[in-house]
Amino acid sequence: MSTQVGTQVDAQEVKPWGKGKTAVVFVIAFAVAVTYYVFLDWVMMVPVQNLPFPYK
Amino acid sequence: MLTRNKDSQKRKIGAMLLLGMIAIFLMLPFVPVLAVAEDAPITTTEEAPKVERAKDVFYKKDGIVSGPPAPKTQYPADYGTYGKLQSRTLLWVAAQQHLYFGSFVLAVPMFVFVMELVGMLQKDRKMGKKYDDLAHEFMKISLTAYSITAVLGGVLIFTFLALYPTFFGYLARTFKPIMHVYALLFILESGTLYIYYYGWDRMNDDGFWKWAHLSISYLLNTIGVVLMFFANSWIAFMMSPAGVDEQGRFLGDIWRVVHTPLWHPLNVHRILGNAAFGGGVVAAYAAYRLLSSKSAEEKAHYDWMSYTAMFMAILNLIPLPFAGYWLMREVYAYRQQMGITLMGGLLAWVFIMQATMIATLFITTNYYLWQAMGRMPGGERYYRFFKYMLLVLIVSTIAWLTPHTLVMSPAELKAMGGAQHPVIGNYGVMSAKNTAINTMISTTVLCFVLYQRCNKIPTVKWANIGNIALVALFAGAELNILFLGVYGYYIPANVRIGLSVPQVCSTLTTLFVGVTINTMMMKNAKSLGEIRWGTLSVRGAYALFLLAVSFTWTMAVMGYIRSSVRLHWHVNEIMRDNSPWAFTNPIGYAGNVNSMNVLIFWTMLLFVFWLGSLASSKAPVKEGVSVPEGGVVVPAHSH
Repeated sequence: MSTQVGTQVDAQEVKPWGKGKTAVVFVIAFAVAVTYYVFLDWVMMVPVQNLPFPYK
Repeated sequence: MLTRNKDSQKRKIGAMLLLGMIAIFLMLPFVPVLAVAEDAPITTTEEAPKVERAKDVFYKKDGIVSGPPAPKTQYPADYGTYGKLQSRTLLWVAAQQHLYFGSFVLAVPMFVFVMELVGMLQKDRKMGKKYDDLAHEFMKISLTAYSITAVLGGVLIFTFLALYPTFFGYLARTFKPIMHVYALLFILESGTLYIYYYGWDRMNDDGFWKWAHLSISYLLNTIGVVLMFFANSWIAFMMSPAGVDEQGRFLGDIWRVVHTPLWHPLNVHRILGNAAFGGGVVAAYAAYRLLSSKSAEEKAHYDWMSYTAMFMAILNLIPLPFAGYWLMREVYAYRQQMGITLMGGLLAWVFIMQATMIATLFITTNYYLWQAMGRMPGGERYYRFFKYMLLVLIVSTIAWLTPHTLVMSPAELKAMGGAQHPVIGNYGVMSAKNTAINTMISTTVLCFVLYQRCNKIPTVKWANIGNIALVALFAGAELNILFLGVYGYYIPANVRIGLSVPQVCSTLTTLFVGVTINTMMMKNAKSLGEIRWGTLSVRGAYALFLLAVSFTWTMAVMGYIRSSVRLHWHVNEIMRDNSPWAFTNPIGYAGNVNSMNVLIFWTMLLFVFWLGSLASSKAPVKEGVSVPEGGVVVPAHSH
């Protein structure tokens, strides 16, 4: 139920980046995201549930 | 100036009143529940104690025997019948109908509380009034349903007394210390409800009395939730008894009888389930009114109402599977055999039915959002993604409802090389199913994120980074969910079961972080046009009916599963069911009774809707007025 905004028609649109810059930033962002998820897996398995991760 | 200061002061006092009430109720769990041992003989120092002590079947602690043992029932002496009708089915119908209406009247006041609060906190008073009117209208529907709930409660008790008098007597004796509290709370709830509803206009002063009115809403919801907790304690006791010895004798501590191992998982699951169901039903009501409205204003109003109710339903639907997993986990912890009966044995196929229904819920939710995007200028930018999202949802659904094993003839069994199919059988295990449901939920979240930004173009400086971050967040989550799903096949079962937790957390990350980033990006966004409320496609409105009916059917089938898992016990391992109906129904019969229950409920509900439309006093309908082509009717600046 977010409040609708966006009536400021004079707001400036952001110019999209080129493909190269987008790709580089995406690779960095994706690496950060994957690191976060792997860390999340470890936290939720080892300290929270006392289960091995990765399993050996 | 002086008046404004006084108003502000009154408003503050009102807000303090609400906060105070919330604080008092939050402290309730810390109030010790006194052990009641009314029937226990009093001992003195002179006499040797004549009390009998016994061990609690669950808590394994000694207690004073304070009640008679569970009766050993015999048929027909302890069971009533109506002709050749199955007593169990009659009770099943009575209980299900009461539960439907009870859930509805529990859920609606929760939404109303949120709506009224949102309305009060709006800076734009016109907008605030719209929320307030909407909350009032929600409550109006609930009021008629409340009367029906009370009548059905009476029907349920009479059915119990007539058909299962001995069992009901035992349950009433065991829960004697809280039975009257339940009745008193019900009276209190009725009084609070009527004061709340009929005091709406009188207390609507935008100041102290409005806050007081909201406090009454809070009180009403608290009583409703406590009532539900009481009712849940009875069914939880039947599934996983505690506070009694192995003969079923009450051991003097009512808290243990109430606080059985499955009580809290059931409480959480039911609150979320009821709220999702209530949202679905109100959305269906609004869809009905949307389709039957003639004027543009009315259509716009009910379109907005259906969206708001739908939003509430989704909000509660998303965490519902996780609450379900918790409940199942506790079932396994309580009795592993019970869990196996549910998910891998006798009732496993009913779970496949349940999976089908929940998949329907998620697909319908997405379908509604896709249809709803049609009323938003700029929505067409995202149409091309729908087919891929649908593909993901369908593949997940197929994986989710793949059974582990099949019922087969010996020849089929031989041809396949076992009960489990060598390829498809791999999708019948929890690793695949957890992956499927988490993927479905993440897809639904993604769909909602797209919906949020449909008619907007972000103008924040970091818009490009934000977009990339969102893609990385969702792609990373899905990759992790898939990885954990596949990883589960290579590790032992006791470790595999733990993987569901990080999977759930990945999904929740998309929900909380994804929606937060998106909302921040939409701040001061450039608008591509207002939402054309009232122009929802007819298919979109029908999707809301499908959603509500699916909720109803899912509740029926899940209720059946929960109750059937006791097998031939009235109270698991304590009181045996010796009636001729103590067998587990074939799936076909259960499905028919569930469908009949759904049909009865919706017939009664249509009556409630019709009453609601009779009492409606919305804007007068002008003949021939319809939504103009491309025109915009804006009942609210919110979505």
